[in-house]
Amino acid sequence: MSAPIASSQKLQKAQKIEIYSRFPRIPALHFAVYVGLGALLIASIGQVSPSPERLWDGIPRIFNLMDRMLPPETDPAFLVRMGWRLLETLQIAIAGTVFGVILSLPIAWLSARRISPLPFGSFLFKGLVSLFRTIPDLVWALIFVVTVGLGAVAGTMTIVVDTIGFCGRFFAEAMEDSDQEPQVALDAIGASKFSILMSVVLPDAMPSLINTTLFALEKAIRSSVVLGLVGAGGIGQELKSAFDLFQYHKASAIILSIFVIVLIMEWITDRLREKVK
Amino acid sequence: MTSPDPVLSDNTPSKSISSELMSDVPLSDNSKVMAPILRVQNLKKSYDKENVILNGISLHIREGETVALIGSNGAGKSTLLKCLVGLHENTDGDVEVLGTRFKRTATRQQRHNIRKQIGFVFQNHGLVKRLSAHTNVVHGFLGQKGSWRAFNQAFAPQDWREKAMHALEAVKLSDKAKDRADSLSGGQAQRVAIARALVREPRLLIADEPAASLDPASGHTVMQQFVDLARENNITLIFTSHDMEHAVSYSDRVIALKSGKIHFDKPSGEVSKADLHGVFDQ
Repeated sequence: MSAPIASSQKLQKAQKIEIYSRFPRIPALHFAVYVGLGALLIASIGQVSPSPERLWDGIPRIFNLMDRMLPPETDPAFLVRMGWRLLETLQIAIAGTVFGVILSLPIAWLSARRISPLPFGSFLFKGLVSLFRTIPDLVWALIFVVTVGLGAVAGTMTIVVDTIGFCGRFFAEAMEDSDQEPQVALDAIGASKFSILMSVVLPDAMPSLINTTLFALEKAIRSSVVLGLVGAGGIGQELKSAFDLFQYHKASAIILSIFVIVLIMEWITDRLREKVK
Repeated sequence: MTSPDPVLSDNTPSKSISSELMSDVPLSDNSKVMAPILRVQNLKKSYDKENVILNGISLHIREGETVALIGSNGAGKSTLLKCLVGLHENTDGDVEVLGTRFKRTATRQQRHNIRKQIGFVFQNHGLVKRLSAHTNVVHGFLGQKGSWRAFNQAFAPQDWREKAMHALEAVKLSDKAKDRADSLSGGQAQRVAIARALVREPRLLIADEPAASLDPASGHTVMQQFVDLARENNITLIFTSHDMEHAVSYSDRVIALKSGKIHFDKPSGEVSKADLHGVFDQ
């Protein structure tokens, strides 16, 4: 037992090892940036967050609004009209998602690193996807309401663009993360880029593509609800007019129905996600 | 170092060889008789001045031969195989594979000509894990006419589906045809990869460490089936291996690479222990 200890002591004496510091050194420039960001955060909180007095004053108003909203409207004629609007909302979401996903696939392929047949042009498609994603859906809705008029078509086009912005990015990432070895194996026997996409990349990335599509559908349903606020069809238009006309019983019925629809869609997409492996 | 072929030996005037190799016509009547399937002359590959992988490789492989490429890690075995099919750009030298000649870079058409006649088996099988063994074998038809039908066995013509089943039968895995590739053992997956390479009826089969990721028993099974099938079908086989027993037992000829050069090139029956030790001496 004594020999290892002796040799260990000998080792300690024989070698003087320099140990690096416990914490990484922060360059002066980085430190200045961190301080600047902290100052910006504090200034933002001071300027735009609600003051405690204002929050306190708002509490009675919240109860007052809830009192005016309950019970929700149950007039059959209203419920039927709301049902049709809900159906239109779902149609906007589903049609927009389907077209968006179909268009996202080639865009993602063209923008995915190593997979794209346009190695030097892929940034163009990445840029296009970034443009679609960066502009908020309500802004797209306003653009399409101006270009194609009020109604569900503008809403569907908004969801298509929004879905391309979302799926285009995540599809491309899933393609880039797909297994490299089969791609090299099929490239070695002369398979084209398109053949490799269809034979390797899509089957391998399929669970991720389906998951992304389901998230896109959930996102589209939530978006399609609010698109009506700017005249792009769906239940949002009913909600806006209910608030504008102070019909809070109707507004609460609409909010409840939206909640139920979103809950059902999340339940369905969760079940589908479990099946995808 | 043994010069493998007098036609390509270092004594041959380089001018005539290089000018000959520049064109796309057959080398000579003599070479036709010898049925060369692969010729490499003074092949060099480096990533930068200090990182030289291949440093003047010359070799000549005839139709029907089974050749083992051996060497330590970094000797250039895998790089050499990839240079042959244009997966890597060569720094210098001349390559002729299956009648197609190129120097530094094969053109798109040349790569297509070469790749449609070869099978390639990689160390880690390279199967699409979420697809069935049958579909993975049908993928062997990619790169051929109407290859969109090889995306999946469901779209494939009946004769391709049958050939794929025969290839699976040849590697004794027809009962696993419908199983997903990720449910197969390492040895089974490698045999499916061999079936994928065989289904295209290649003239040249290239395998990069086909048994390296397998346990010894599976490794022997895979190598035995691989070599038997290649010989039965008169396919030229070039494989790399770290396993000296595999290299000597399953090949007609052993080519050893060391520091990017050919260390020796001998019939496998003539390879001695001293030869093999010499390959791995630093």
